[in-house]
Amino acid sequence: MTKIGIIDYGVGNVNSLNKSFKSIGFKSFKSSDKSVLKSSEVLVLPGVGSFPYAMDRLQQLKLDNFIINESKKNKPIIGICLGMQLLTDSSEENGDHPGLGIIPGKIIELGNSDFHIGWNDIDICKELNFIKKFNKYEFFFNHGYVYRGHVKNILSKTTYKSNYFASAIIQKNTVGFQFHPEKSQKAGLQILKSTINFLLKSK
Amino acid sequence: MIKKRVAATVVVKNDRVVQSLAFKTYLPVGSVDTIIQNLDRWGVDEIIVLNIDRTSNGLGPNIEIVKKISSIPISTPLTYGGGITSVSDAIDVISSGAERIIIDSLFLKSPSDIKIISEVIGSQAIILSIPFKVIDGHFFHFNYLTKIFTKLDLVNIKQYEKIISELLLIDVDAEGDAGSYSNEVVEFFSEVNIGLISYGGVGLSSQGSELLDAPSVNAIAYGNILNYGELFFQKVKKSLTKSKKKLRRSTYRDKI
Repeated sequence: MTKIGIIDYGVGNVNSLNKSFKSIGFKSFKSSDKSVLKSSEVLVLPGVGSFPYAMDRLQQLKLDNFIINESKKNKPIIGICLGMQLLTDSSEENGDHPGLGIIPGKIIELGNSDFHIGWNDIDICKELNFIKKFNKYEFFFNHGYVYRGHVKNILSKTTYKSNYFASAIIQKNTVGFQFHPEKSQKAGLQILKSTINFLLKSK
Repeated sequence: MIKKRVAATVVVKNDRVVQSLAFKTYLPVGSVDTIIQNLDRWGVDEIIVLNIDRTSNGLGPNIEIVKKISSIPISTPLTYGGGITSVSDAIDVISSGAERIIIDSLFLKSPSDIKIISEVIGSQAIILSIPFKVIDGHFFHFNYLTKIFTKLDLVNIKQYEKIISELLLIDVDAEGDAGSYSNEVVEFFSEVNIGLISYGGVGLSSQGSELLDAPSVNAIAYGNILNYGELFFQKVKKSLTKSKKKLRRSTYRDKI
């Protein structure tokens, strides 16, 4: 059974994520210890929080370099919400802060004091079977910052106030979701399952 | 297109779900996990847990309840309010399984702490709860602990536009009385650039759709009526048929 390691760095709903993976048939555990996380086959970086605080936490626990190194070794990584944003080069949330630099691109403000909170659908932009079937499905979003990067890294986009932003991104063996699949009911759990199986196959 | 949310509010007192009538009377309903399991299965857009006896009893947030709910497990967005007064409380609630927290009495006691919390968990995760009363056309913030109400000061609330992401506007007197939510409060708050969640007294009435017509209303929360029947959430959705295009389609029958 696939072992999923959830990075527990004090920023994010690790508890619910852990239960979600178990409910879709994976063996998952949460840890803040590099040596424990190393034993996982897939790493998951969750996140509900502010970008600078979350990066500080990763650095304090020496998990930033660990994640970068695991990525270089081609370990599948899934970033969720803020976890997705941390995988990019930088963010302008409360200043200008460098990220993990695994997925090229940066995080910018959605709009002046604007938040995108609620259920919205996704338009799949890539001909990849693992995600194509979720075209137009609705997922739960909760964020005020969005990804800006190259079109080749964008898996899906979502419309908000006549603009669109990237709702899922990809770089080699790393996938990031701006929404919360673990809190998007049936479609959310299925997209997680499909993504993990895809990443393991293409490893 | 972003959809407006139909949320379910679960009021908790002494670790049990209660029916709340105008913040005065509380009738027992049942166990937290059974009720939340149903709401999750029905596919409500969001579950809001309001643990009303934490601050009044000098307790912090009910971490055990949040953990218990996450362990069911549920796959519906979870918002928790009750007893959160510090950054560590907020972190505990989030890491136990909620995506968002509700701040209530802290706004009256130590409002500067809200900004400190937002710098850690992000503004997107913070909802400010404002129980209100309407008296002679004026709006008052009701402090449910002291039962004192003070005139609502929008200039003050505007300062939170970047610190919090939504306001939970609870109509205290309307709670438990269908179709009696104050439409006027939505108008009153229109100059504040913060999304609203209307709660208290909407019930199975046409008022739900009227409220959803307001651009600032992001969500309507239903409480008591969801506790008394199988798939009652679908009845709520039916009462909002006029707003169908603004809402997420029902997914409880989906097989994917």
